[in-house]
Amino acid sequence: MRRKEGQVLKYILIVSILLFAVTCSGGEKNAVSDEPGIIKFVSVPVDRLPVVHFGMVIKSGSASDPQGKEGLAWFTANLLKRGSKSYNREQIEKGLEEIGGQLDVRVEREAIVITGKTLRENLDKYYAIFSDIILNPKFPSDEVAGLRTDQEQAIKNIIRNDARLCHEAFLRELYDGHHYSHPAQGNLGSAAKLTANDAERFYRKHFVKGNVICGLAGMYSPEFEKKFQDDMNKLKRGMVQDRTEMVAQPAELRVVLVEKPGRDQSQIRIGKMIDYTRRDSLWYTYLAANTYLGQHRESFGRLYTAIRSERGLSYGAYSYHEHFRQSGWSKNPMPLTPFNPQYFSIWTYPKRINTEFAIKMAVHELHKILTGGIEPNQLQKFVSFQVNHFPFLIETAEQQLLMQMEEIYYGQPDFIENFEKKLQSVSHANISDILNQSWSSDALLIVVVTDSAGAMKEELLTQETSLELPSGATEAGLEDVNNRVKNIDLGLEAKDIRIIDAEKLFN
Amino acid sequence: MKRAALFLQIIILLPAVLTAQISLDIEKTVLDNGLTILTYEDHSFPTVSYQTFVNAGSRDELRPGATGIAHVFEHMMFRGTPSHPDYDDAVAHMGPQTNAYTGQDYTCYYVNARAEFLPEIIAIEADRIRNLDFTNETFRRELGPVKEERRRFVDDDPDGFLEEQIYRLAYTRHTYEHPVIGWQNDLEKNMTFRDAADFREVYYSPNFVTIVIGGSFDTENVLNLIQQHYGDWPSHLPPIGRIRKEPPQSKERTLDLTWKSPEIPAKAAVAYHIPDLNYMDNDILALQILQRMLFSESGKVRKKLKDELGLVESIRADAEGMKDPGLFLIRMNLTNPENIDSALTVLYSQIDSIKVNGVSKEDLVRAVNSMKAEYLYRLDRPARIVGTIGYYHLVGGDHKLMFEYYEQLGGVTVKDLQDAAKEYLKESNRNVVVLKPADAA
Repeated sequence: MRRKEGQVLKYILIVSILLFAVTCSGGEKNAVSDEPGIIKFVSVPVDRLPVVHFGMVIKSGSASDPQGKEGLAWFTANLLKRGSKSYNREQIEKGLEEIGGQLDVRVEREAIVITGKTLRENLDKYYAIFSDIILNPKFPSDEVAGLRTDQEQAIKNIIRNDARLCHEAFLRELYDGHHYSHPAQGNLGSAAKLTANDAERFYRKHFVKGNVICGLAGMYSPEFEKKFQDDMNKLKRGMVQDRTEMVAQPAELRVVLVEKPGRDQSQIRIGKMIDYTRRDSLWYTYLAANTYLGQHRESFGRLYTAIRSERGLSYGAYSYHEHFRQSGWSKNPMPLTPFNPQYFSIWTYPKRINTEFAIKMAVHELHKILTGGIEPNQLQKFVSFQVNHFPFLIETAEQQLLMQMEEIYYGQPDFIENFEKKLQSVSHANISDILNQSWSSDALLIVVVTDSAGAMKEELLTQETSLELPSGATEAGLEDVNNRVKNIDLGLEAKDIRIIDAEKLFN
Repeated sequence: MKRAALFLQIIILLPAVLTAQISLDIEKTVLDNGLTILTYEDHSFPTVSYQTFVNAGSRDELRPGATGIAHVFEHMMFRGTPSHPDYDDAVAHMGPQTNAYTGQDYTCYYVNARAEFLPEIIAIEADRIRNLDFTNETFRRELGPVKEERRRFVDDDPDGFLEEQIYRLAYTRHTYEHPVIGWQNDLEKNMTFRDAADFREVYYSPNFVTIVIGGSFDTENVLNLIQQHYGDWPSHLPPIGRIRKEPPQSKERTLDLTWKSPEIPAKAAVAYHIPDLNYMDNDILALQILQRMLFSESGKVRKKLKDELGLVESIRADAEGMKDPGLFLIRMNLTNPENIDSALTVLYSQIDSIKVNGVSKEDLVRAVNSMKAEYLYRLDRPARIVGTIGYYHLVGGDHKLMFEYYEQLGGVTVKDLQDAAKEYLKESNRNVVVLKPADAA
């Protein structure tokens, strides 16, 4: 009893101190070695809660799946949680639940991201499980059948969800022939054949020191940090060669219609591959321009204004200057979702009858920014938006940890520190020239998940663009623009439009 | 202006495991016009979260034909005022996180921003709730995106459709029967501009509004600003009409439906009526613990149905505390449409075994620990802290329930779980909707 009282007092003290000690400036950063072949560590040793966060990035994702074994990175990462040297699956699940610990694995094209958290007082129990999973995975063969079932369902869930299906179909088409063309979960045929031995081989090749970034955030001692580093350094030495594979892009606009019967609404993705990266100063110009064109889930963007606010055609219309995944229920981008080469995209989802109009409206708005640029005051407003929005990307210890790991991943140790300065230096002077380098509206790829794809193909070829406003709403003040948009000639020929069956997409 | 300073402290005592302690200093102020303000000042953040809670949601939609009006009006609140004709344009330079959501019990508008912008946010938020400028034309136009939202999340989404149907089946008199987004027919044909104006007239009034602020600010200064911007906002008359109580259910209700296309798995939703959010007794907490214990990653029902028998692809459950009696709602995706009867039989037998055999103390501790830890993890930023304060204030009637939740979770016993299972998770209190894919019908 006395011991418990002592523990309570200890935590009161720690929490009280930290409540006033922590700032949200991205945390104090340790120097990170850039020596190849060693693990890079990140430490964010502050927080206001008695919580410890773990992060681990393996710089290999589904793009590293061998041919014919698509889905192997996903299979391997998920098999880790199903058994290690000292714990079987049930012990892992119950052990974590008993202490309120969390452990998540996600697989991206270029990374496996493992994150976890525990209450400080359960750190030792949590770490015993976490470290055993990472360092001593067992790849139990008796878990393979169950995991295969889960993987098959994960692939089917993409097909069942129109928005996810549209996006994966878009990526499949855009990266045709590239390692990004299959979803991280793989294809139904390949995933069904994966084995525990495959997973073990993938682990041995990719979970090596030169391919790993590790980190801690929150309330932990220097001694624990050292133990964590020492333990993770027990991973095998080795490196995985970085590679960038370029993909040949068709020079003409093209459309892929994914047939899905029974839909009242269409899902649309429009975009193209781009050649800028975060390391380029132009990246900030594209970020600012994208904020103006279609900032995610914000209603001030041009696409949102034209498609939703003024015409009521869709619940949303947004653009993305690089690959984007939303972080949970927030509007924030999820850190550590690397793509190389990257792509630009526009998303919207109108009623079936307004699909062609919405496509043309989006192209129209893109064309406007490419030809007319952005007014200086508008540009400044959206630069201010991003500058003032940035604290929400590093608001918590967990976010700081992931963002600092992302800095290492991209080789930009000063990304957080210099974000505002670089963004403020964006100029409107030749912005349309710059945007035309990567966003030019020719050679776009358009993917639509839709009902009656055959009829839509005909509509696209005959240029008979319908527009149905919400009942009771009028075209007042919009007639001229609407007519101009309807009359946009996308220049499509029959050979430019393909119809594919959703059910056969990821076989 | 009445102010009550409360120093609230909770001790998280997880049996045999957790001892961490958190303190939150929350101050409650009520202006003369009835506007309530809850402040949580915390200078460890560089940001603030400013959330305006309107004590009305789809539960308060009483006029037939106007279902969804609370949500439609939430959309209208972004349409601007004479001073700020474009709301999002007016706040864009601050780089805020802004949005809103409508639930069954309340509606929330939030703005999260750097702390230095708080005075500007107070002015803009007061302006839009008091001086919103909307016309029949903008109302009609906004119905378009709402209908597309419904198409996306209900009409083309079998999960959204299933949820809508289970509420429709489970409630016969109470307004929880209709969906937050409203029936499509009401959105298409019945809802009028007058409905929106009336809804605003009744509920967008200081006596129905609570502002919750968290983060880095000076409470005294902020309360002065709020008094300045909201102090002369007149209260409106309370609503006419009342929400009808749902009578006790005496017999199981079932509904079989077919989805419009074949690609989905067969689905089932099972719902039991449960008490409202009230910690005077342990029933709601016991049911929430049962939900975690049975349906979490290592939950007994999940293990049985998914891993052992392979009858379901996935299964999950919720037992959210509501203003009025809510639902213990279980949703499952079947591996095969032919498995529906077997899966439901196993589910019911698992629940029945708790009534007969109880649960182990170990399982109870594990569930409570994970719930408490999860709660603690959520308190990591102003927006989530403020959202939690607002939820308990609006739904439970007192924000201090957010602390009682912790304190009382640890006091729930194995017998409480067994009693709650017997009382609520029984056949006569059960509603079941089955949704089959087109070609399995």
